[in-house]
Amino acid sequence: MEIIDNLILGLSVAATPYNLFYCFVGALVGTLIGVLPGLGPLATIAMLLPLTFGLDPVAAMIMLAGIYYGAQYGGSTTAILINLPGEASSVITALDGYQLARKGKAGLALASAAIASFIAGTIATFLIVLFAPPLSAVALMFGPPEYFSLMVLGLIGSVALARGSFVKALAMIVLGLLLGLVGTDVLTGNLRFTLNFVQLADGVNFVIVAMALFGIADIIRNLELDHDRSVISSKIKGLMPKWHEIKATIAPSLRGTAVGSVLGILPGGGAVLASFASYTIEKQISSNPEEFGQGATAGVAGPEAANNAGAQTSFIPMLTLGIPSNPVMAMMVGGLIIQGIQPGPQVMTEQPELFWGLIASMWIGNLFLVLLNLPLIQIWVRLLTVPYDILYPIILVFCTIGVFTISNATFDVYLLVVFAMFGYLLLKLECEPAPLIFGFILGPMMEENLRRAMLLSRGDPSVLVTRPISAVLLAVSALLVILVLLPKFRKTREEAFKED
Amino acid sequence: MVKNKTELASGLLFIAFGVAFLALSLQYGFGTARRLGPAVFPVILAAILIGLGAIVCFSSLASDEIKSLPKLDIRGAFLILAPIAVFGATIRGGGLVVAVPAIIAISSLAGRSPSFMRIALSAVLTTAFCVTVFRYGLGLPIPVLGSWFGKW
Repeated sequence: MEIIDNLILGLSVAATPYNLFYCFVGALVGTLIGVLPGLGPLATIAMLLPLTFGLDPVAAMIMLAGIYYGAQYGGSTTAILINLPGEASSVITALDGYQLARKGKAGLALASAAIASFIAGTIATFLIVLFAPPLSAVALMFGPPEYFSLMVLGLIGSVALARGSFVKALAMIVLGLLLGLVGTDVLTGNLRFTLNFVQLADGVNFVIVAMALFGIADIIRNLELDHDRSVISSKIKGLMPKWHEIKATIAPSLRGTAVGSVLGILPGGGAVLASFASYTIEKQISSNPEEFGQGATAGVAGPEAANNAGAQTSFIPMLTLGIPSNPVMAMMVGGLIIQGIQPGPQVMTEQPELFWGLIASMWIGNLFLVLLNLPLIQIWVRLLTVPYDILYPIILVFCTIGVFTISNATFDVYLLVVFAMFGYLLLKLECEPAPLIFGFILGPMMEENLRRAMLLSRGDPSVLVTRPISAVLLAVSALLVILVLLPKFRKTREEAFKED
Repeated sequence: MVKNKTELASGLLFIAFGVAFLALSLQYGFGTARRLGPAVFPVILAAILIGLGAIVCFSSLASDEIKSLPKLDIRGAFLILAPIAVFGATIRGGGLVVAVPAIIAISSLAGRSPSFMRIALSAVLTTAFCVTVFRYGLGLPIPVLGSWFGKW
């Protein structure tokens, strides 16, 4: 059977000692950095991306995937132990996880999160194996107009289904798209927006932007806040939960996996929406909903499973279409491009080792995380007790060295300063930076597909609405915009994403 | 009187960026409908950005929420950003042994109660870690000792 063959091919690639090593290292350092307070997956991936530059593409992607899962899991650990979620998808985990930790059940919360993530990761990996090939076949029917419209939908979807001001988020996307165009225009060779800096001829590397916006700007902001960082480090015991407690997490995990898998594939979906949705569901069907917010295990397991499943299935559009469905995936696409791989449906047929190896290593990465986190949890806890005042200068060093090593250019380091300043200003003006990085990576791809579409249609822009798939994608985008702007939906959206 | 000044400021920021990108884009060629020139996509985007910025501005005028302009922590921002620039200025000449301690030393001043011993210890350990891991472990081409130290 083809699926089995594919899986075997994948496992044979991922299970070589060399690739296993990088998968393990990725998961380990991903967790290590992800555990640090205030660093979400985006910042973690940006910081660790330079580590993969010297590897071959397969090992690089495998390590990157490991980093990604590690970062996600590390974020959950921080959320549970010190109620300081590094990113939106662990906000939910913090709700009940932190309450459990305060009651001395940190072990139960952490184990539920780990087990739920593993269940979700395992199922979602199989979903990818099942659905990636047919989707790739569909993707091959996509022409430039469809790609363009799909990116429009992805960008709009990612902000329509997220928190915060919709119009500002749209503006951030557009600003990101524009910044992504800085550099040499591939078609004509014109230099655009380089302000006469030769060094900008190749554009701004997205690692710089991501690191500035998510790493450094956040440090400045964190230093202003007076965190109540009461780490519950001394009381972490009973790490291994009892069997009946584990059993109680299975049903919520499965439900969370289902929710997360579906939402992860949607353009703009992914981990954040999935964990919010799962929490709501668990609360609705629970026999004692009053437990939620006070330390309900289901409130940790469900969202964690959804979060992880969504993270995993959001690889499907990325791998089959080459189009990231959310900012984190956009970073992964950026990582692929640095490796010289243009993501898209051809990857599966032309580089089956990379494709199936990556998928197999996702599962292995999840396994590593469980094996890693349950025994190592004391180390992560110890790490959390390190005062932020000692940590942030070190984070700063790593970010700066990471940027410098992209191409050994001091100019990049100065760019980091400029973008960090800009990022701090954006944070202060309450402009969420994630949409900007998403637009930044998609900018050149969108322009290229728009141009190709116009070339194919001999200069007729109506091609975007006369080709049926493209028309549907644009119609859904328009519908999303209208829905979000409708007063009734707007209210529900605000309530749905309220943190407490 | 505008109540939500944060909103207004962000709207104006978007408009400013939109105008700047528009002005620059207009210098590039538009090409033909079949072969779009380098100006077309950015001009469309810049126009949308200006439009969205205007919407944010208008909604801030209509908003009842009272929000003054955010206070920027200039000192904190400077103490975090300046060391990065110092790294850029010293990495070639001084190498990691100068650039890394520089970041640790300057940026630590932004913390709550910087102590000399702690900063010194952190600088030494972090530098040792970076040299070991980045230079020797990963083999990245970063100078450990820069050109200021001569060749030996």
